[in-house]
Amino acid sequence: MTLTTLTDDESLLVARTTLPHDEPGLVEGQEAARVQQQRRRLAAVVANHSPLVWRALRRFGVPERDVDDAAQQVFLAFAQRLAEVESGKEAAYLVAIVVRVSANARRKLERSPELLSGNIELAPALYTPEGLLNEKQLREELDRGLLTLPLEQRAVFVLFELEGFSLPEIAEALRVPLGTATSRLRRARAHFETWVKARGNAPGDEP
Amino acid sequence: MNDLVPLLDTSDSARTRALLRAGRGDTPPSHFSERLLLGLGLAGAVASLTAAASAHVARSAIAGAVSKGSGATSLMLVAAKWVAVGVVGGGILAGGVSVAVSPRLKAPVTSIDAKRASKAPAAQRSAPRASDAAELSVPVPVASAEPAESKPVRATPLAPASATSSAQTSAHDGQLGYEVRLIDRTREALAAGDFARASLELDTFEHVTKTGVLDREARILRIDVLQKLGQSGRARVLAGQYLKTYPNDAHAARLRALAAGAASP
Repeated sequence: MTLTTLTDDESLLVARTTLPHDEPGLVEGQEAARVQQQRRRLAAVVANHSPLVWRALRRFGVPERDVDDAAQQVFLAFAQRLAEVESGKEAAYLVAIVVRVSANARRKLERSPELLSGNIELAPALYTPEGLLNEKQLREELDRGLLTLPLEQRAVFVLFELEGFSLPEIAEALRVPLGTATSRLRRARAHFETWVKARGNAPGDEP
Repeated sequence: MNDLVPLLDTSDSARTRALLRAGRGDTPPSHFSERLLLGLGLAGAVASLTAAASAHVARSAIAGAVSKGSGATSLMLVAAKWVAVGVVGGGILAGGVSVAVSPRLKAPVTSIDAKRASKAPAAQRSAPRASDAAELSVPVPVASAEPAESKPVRATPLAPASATSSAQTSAHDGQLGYEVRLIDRTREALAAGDFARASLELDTFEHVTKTGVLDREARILRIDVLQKLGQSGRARVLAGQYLKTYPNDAHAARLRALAAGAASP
């Protein structure tokens, strides 16, 4: 795993959620308690929601090799707003950040085509002559299909179809009207099913 | 199209359903959360709750419970843990300041983080940061009887390693509290269906265990975790080994069924 070295600002952020740093070795009780509480909450959010963040980043098009860095960015951004996030709303908040981070990652990839080397959308066809697709291959095909969707549709589609969010939750997380979220889902579904049909019956497909 | 029903349940295309099913079943690589916590300097955040008070308060309860069989042990361990956590939490909320880290506390907290750090890939660019170092070496909140308005206390140096027998007892208690917490975290992960994390917690336990008090419990949990992870063969082997050592254990019937190749209940 390669995690990005934190910038000065990010280090400062982590330090804020780690320890009071104004007077080393001398810690105010209430401040220490608050900081420790924040740290425990952040740690719990990471432990509970990192699988969601990982999957969403992958499905939103972040290459596997970059997911760790992107996830770190997501949680750092989350940490900055930790105090504002209502208990129970962490997943929605994280998802909103994931969409933003994914968009940045994709833009970076598009600006540097050489980085796409080995990325899923340029991978060769994965159907084996014998026709048995394993889970990994199916996921790679899924990712290839998702990448044909605009990000705003992909986000709604992934959250609804794969992560089990409701449309109102998605609308809230993405800060769009419910009607917009619904419309994006409808268009994403139509597009995805058309894409799947266009691929034809690949070997290993269910009868 | 029904916007409220997932495509997985409504699509006419078997291929669409297969793709969505594959996407839903995707999981991050093992230890992803742990690496993130480490990268964010939070590796010991949860472990920091394992305070001196935890072991101190739990000591007698655990000692008594251990002698009463595994069922009572589990119950008492959980009860003791929550009492201890309450004391620690209360101390923190009451303004208890982080002061000296006693040897009995420091050793376990350091060891888990050090082990996790040592397990991290060499390529991990962000590995020990200032925040990690601070977490490991300086303040860990401990329960304090001081009121909220108590003045900050400067950290005091650690006791020398060549401690008295009472200090050794304290170190044992701290270690035991730490082991209790790891076992408890394993159970929580199992209950939450996070079997990879449960396995990791047990790995940590097996690396750090010294007291031997909870080894039996850990062996049972290891068998359960292996089963959940689909490693039934290894689970059966371990069940057989366990039964040889403890043929009349409370879990014996279940383990015999497992060792004989039957499905677990």
